[in-house]
Parts: sequence; C-alpha cells; structure tokens
Amino acid sequence: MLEREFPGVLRAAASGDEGAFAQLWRDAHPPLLRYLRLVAGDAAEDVASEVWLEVARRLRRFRGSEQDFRGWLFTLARRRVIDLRRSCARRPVRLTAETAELDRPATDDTAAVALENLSTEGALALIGTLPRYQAEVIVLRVIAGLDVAQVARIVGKRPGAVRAAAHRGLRALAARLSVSAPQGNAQGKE
Amino acid sequence: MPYFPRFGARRSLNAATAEELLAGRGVPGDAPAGQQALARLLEIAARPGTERELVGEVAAAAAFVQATSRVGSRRLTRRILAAAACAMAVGGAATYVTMASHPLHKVTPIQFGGTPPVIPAPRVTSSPSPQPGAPRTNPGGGTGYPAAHPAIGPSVQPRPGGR
Repeated sequence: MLEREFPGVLRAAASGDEGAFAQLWRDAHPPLLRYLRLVAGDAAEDVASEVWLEVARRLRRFRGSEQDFRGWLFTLARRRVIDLRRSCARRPVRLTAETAELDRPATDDTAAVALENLSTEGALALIGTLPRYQAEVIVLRVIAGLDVAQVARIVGKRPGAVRAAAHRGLRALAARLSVSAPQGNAQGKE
Repeated sequence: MPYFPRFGARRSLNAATAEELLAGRGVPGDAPAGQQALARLLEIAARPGTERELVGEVAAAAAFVQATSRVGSRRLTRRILAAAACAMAVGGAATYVTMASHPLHKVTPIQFGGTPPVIPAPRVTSSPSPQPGAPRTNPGGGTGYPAAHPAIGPSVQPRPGGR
C-alpha cells in the first residue's frame, strides 16, 4: 500500500503521469492478479489487463482514499469476471495450469504442505481448495487488504455473512494444516 | 515427529483471532501451533508482488498512455462538436427571429374542419363584377383561399351550369 504517498500519486496519474500510474499498478497489480487467478483461472491476466484499461480511462474521475481505490479496482475486476462467466458459462473456471504445476497440494493431501517451501502460488492454491465464496472473501480481506464493509459491497452480501464465511474458511484451512504438518514448519522460516 | 493436533486449531480459532488474521495482524507468539501455521499461510499468500507478477508493467504503462491520449482526443472532439452545435443553434435562432418578424411570414394556423380566420383582403379597385373566365373572388371579403373542400370553405357557390 502506498499510504501517505497515495493522494499525490493518484493526482499525478489522473493528470496523465505514466510513472505515477505505473506506481499504482506495481502496488495493486499483484493482489489483483492473485484474486483473479482464484476467481477467473486461466483468464486472470486478460481480465487484469481489461481492468487496468478501464482504470486508466476512468481514473480522472475517481475520488477517494487508497482503500476506496482498492475497493473500486476489485469491484471492476469482479464485474469483469461475472461478465466472463456469463459469456462462457459452459467453460468451467479452474486454477491455471501454471499454478497447478507449482506446489498446489491435492485436496486429499494438503497435510503434506511444508510451509517453509510454500510459494505464494501454493498458498493461493491451498486457499483455492476452499469453497469459492469463502476463498474469495479470504483473498479480498487478506491479499487485497479490504475491510469487511468493502468486501460486503464487492460481493453483494451483508457484512455479517462475509465475516461468517471468512471465519468458516479460516477454520477449514486451519483444520487442513493441522492434519499432519510437522510442527517445525509452522514456526516459519523466511 | 510431533504433529499438530488435528482439531486443536479449529477449536481454538475464535472470531477475534480470525479477525486478527484476516486483518493481517497475525497471532501472538504463544498462540497454538495451528493458528501460527494459518498465520504463516496467509502471510505467504499476501507477500509483495513477485517479478513474474510485475512483468507486465511496461505494457500496462503503454496501455495507460494510449488510453489517456484517446480519452483526451475524444474529449477534444466532443468539445469541438458541442461548440459547433451551439454555433448552429444560435445562428438558426437568429435567422428564425429575423424571418419571423417579417410581415410576409406571418403564419396563421387553421384548424382542420374549422373556419379560417378572417384576414382583410387587399382592396380591389377595379370592376365589381367578375369578368368571365376570371377567378372568382369571395363575396364576403374572405381570405382568398380557394374553397378546396365544402366543409372548410366559408361559402359554397354553385358553379355555372349546375354542376
């Protein structure tokens, strides 16, 4: 997050400063891409490009804080994904082959995850084994850094429902991690 | 090798701890191992962007430049079109006012099926009786409009010859 720098960077980007836009992109693109990998699978990169193009077109009219910007970004992304699902309703959305080739654990073998060797893609893949809604809410909260109210607006649910889904998802993840992972791994090595 | 108790983490993960984890604040060092593992997993998932994720920066910036320049040129085009439309509207209004004020352009609406309004006809100074073959004039000093339809004509004069 850019935090204090954000208002100046946003102003510059809105007035057409390419460098400022790149700064916004560097900050927000990785979480956006991770979210899209979860909800759009193979189309994540394409959807992300479309989202950023829309941001570029409408940035001049955007007003708000960094949290608002994040909320707007992920709202645009989710709408794009919904459009995508409508347009190819028959094609099942799944995680990318690229991600699957990494260290994604099989659903029946999550216990074997060694946390110290787990990559970001692997962690996402593990979260992706949760029911879609729970996984989406957890990613929006943890990776996008949005609060309950923002996530509720994005997914069109009540804050209480969002909170409950996130908690259920975390409990399920904790249970999966608890199956047989060695304790030494839990302490985490950087 | 020690293992996490299977359901220990699940049981101990209360709402407050879950909120701490979701807010990225992690768990205390003395938290149960399951919670620590979960915190570690979320931390890994929320790591800063990798090189592979940031590889599209140049393309994104180029797309931004293209999009903003296109938006700018579209905005300019819209402004030019709006100015042209305003100029045409003002010019048209001025022309209308000029023409409408001219006496020859007085327009009197006539209701369908009604009686046309009476407008004084120009004075006729010559022969009071029509010459044969000359067009008839309305004896009542009417509008001068030909009675195209009996219903709307002010008077109907039988034609010579009874037809």
